[in-house]
Amino acid sequence: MTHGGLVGWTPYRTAWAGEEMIVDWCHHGSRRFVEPFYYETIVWAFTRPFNQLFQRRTPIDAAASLPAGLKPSGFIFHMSRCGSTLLGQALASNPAHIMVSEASPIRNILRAPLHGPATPEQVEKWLSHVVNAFGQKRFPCETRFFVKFFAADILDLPLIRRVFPDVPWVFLYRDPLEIFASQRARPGADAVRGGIPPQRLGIAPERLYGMSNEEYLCHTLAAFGEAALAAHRPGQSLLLDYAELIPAFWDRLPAHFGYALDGEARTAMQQALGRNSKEPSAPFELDGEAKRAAAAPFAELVNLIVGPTYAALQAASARQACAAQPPAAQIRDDLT
Amino acid sequence: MRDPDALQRFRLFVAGREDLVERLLPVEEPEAFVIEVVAVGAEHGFMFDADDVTAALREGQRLWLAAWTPVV
Repeated sequence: MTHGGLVGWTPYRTAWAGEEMIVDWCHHGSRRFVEPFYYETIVWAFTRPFNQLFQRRTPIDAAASLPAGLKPSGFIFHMSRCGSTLLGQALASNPAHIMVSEASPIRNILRAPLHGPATPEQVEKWLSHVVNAFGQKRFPCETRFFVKFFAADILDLPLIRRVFPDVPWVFLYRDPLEIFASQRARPGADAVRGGIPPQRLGIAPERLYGMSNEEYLCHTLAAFGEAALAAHRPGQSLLLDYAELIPAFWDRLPAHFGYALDGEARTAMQQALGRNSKEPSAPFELDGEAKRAAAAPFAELVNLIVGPTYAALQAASARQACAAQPPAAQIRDDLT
Repeated sequence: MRDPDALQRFRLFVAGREDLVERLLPVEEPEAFVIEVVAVGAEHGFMFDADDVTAALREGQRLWLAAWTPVV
């Protein structure tokens, strides 16, 4: 079976079709991935009748025919609701960057063994192929490539590290009370019971339905944090508290990912930081105090289950060798 | 004369032709798109009609919506 050239085409879905892993491809033309989430980019692509008619389906091994794309410059992991979308939008503001945010074709590869006959070796190969497909240069100015994973993908970090051992990564975390409030008000898929095998969250299967939604959420957040801590290697990984995130945009994060911001990139990022990352037309607002107040009735539960992990993340952060941050006055000037 | 496999063969043909992608991708209106696809197909010797394209569009829409759920 011939699949024709895949150059110019990007995965919009990976899935099992019977016992075969397939990739569905669409064409983004001359449009960068600027939306906060890749699924929004796909929706945009399918507003074009072209993709409805000419979309393609191939076995996943066909993705191996693509030329080597950009090697990932950095991976972004997170505990959920702690600024990763803002970071993704800041990185996407630079035209030199390919920024792929929470792409389900990548997630589905990580989850492939849950739903079909995939060996670990196959998953590693497929992950390499699909990430390479996203890293294809579509514009001459593109020199860096970042992948932001779904929150629960941190549980697959050992596998991801086997495929990409040299790619620097960051794990974003936040006061768990604030994450808890956000997830409780608007649950993400990874915080809903049943989405993740309970053993991977340190929950005995027989206990899964014997606990409250709130307790389940706390175990989820703790598991994400523990997975980051277990893999953390200072220098190669960076643990970053939400409270330190925005200052880090200007130096620690670029330095960690191996580049420096030029004037144009700073201006574009200032604009991105002024917007609400998930609703780019709305201004960005700090909301930690309101979130902590909303979660206050559950503070004991959150502190009991997630507190030790949060403390360990903060302690590990404090031990990290880090570049000097600009003085606070400079940061304020940058943001005005 | 209409060829029942022509549209499928045309789809594979277009997949590897960046110039044709650039010509067809920007067309936003479905009606104009159908007319353009039939015309471009005929230019390259693929004989199918607007009904074929409309049916394939419907199938393509079903395919991309099926089993695809955004995860936030």
